[in-house]
Amino acid sequence: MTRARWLLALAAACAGPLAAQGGTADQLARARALYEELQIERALPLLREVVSPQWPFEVTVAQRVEAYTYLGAALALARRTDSAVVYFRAALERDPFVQLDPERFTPAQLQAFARARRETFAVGTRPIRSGRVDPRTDRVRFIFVTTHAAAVRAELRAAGAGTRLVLFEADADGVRELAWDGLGPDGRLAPPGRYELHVDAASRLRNVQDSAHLYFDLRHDVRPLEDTLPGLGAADLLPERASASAAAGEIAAGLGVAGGALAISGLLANSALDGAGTGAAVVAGVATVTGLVAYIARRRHPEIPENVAANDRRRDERRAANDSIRARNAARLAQTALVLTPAAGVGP
Amino acid sequence: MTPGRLTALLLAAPCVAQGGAAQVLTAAASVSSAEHRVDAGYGVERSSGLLGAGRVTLGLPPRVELDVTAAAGTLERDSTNAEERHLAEVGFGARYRPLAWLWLETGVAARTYSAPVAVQRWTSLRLGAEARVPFFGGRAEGVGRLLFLPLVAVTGLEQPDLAISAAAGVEYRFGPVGAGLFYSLERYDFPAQDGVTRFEQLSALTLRASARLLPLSGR
Repeated sequence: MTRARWLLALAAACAGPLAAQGGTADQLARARALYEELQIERALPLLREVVSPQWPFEVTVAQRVEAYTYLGAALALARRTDSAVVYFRAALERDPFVQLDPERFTPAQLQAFARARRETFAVGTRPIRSGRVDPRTDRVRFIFVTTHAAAVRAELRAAGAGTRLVLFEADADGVRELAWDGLGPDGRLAPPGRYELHVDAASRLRNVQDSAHLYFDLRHDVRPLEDTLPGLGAADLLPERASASAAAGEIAAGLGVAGGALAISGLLANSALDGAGTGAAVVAGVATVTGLVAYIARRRHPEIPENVAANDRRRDERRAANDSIRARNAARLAQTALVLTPAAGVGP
Repeated sequence: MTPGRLTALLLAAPCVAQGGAAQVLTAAASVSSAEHRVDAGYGVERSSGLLGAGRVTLGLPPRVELDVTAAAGTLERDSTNAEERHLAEVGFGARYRPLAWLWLETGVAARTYSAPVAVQRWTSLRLGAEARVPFFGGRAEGVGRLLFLPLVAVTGLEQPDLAISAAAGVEYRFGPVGAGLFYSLERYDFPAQDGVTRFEQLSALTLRASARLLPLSGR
């Protein structure tokens, strides 16, 4: 296959989707132009084709809403008010946020649209944008709308946790903005997870109700926290009480010195010089008594004060270190920001 | 390791002591009940008396100590063949602690025995070790010391065949002050001269008090 044939095949493959997008958009653009030129009778068929089930091209919700809106506006200009209201209602049912600009539309069109709003009841929420919110200085913004006066209750629900926070419960008419400080019902920063903004509305004009849902993921953006020091184990502390063998060691030390003095006098002294005096016996006696006294003292008071003090020092140092770590962590937690991401539903 | 090399090592030790540690200056005074025995072929001559001594020690924690010692006293004769003699001694020592309880020690000492008929000078080099074992909750230390004197020069005598010094005792500590009781023995066996063997021995029961002068606080 030649290069030219490859290019033709590639162009043919791309032509379908491009034509589908361009078909609806082009049709709407032509209809808008005709409408602006007040060629209403020529614009109406183009708009009807777009909302017709036989329209061969893909139509987005926004395009369909635009088509219904221009149909309503065109019919209102043609003094076919009832039909205009029907199309305006169709637009409002699909997008309750639809508005007519008073500077671009005539009073008759606006009246027809207002009638459509009264006869239609719908509530909607504006999609949340991905973003980062510092709850110390900013708020999470939600926007909902009702097509006419209604009793509205907006709740924030943590998916799977059963926690609910009422953000709004009052009458509303039209667009309303809610500001959430990021706190849960307990006054603490809302935990990370999937959340749902649930808006229930009951019409004040008709006996109808509607609801809207908005899902998003909430994540905490916090600097990594430090781990506190582990508790002091037996291996980290000095023994605070002397063992029985330590007490016996006191006697051994005294007897060792006594033995050393007697050994010097008895073994090292020159026997040819008839011994070496009585000093060794004095030292041996004193050392033995010292060992005995130390033994008794150790048995009566087995505590080892210097070890107790050293252990207290280590505990104090660990406590101070952990207090410092906790303070640093608290400072980091206080700077936690909320990161919001749109989600499709309660589940992942 | 030869005695000379060990001496050089100990004398150089202060240079490698930790520079950041506070130096410790300690002064000690002692009184000894000493007994001198000598047999030069005419039977055992005994003399005894009190010796007073003082010592100043410069500690370079944690491993090194240097000290200067001076002692003097009179040994009264206890046997008819003995004669009164005055003893005076000065010495310098250096100690290195390789283990918490063990000190290696070296030093030189010059001693003079002055008698009515003659003056005898002793010069000696000492090498050895001292063990210090704390007990009584650190309030006391058991002390044992053994020194060899490989070089001993005595006026009119040859180098002794055997020259050793040993001591044992207990030292009590009360903060910056200490008190100790020690028994010590020096033994010298000289080679035979003209068929006569000379034995000499100095033993002492020593009561010693010490006080740390600098730093005033610390260990």
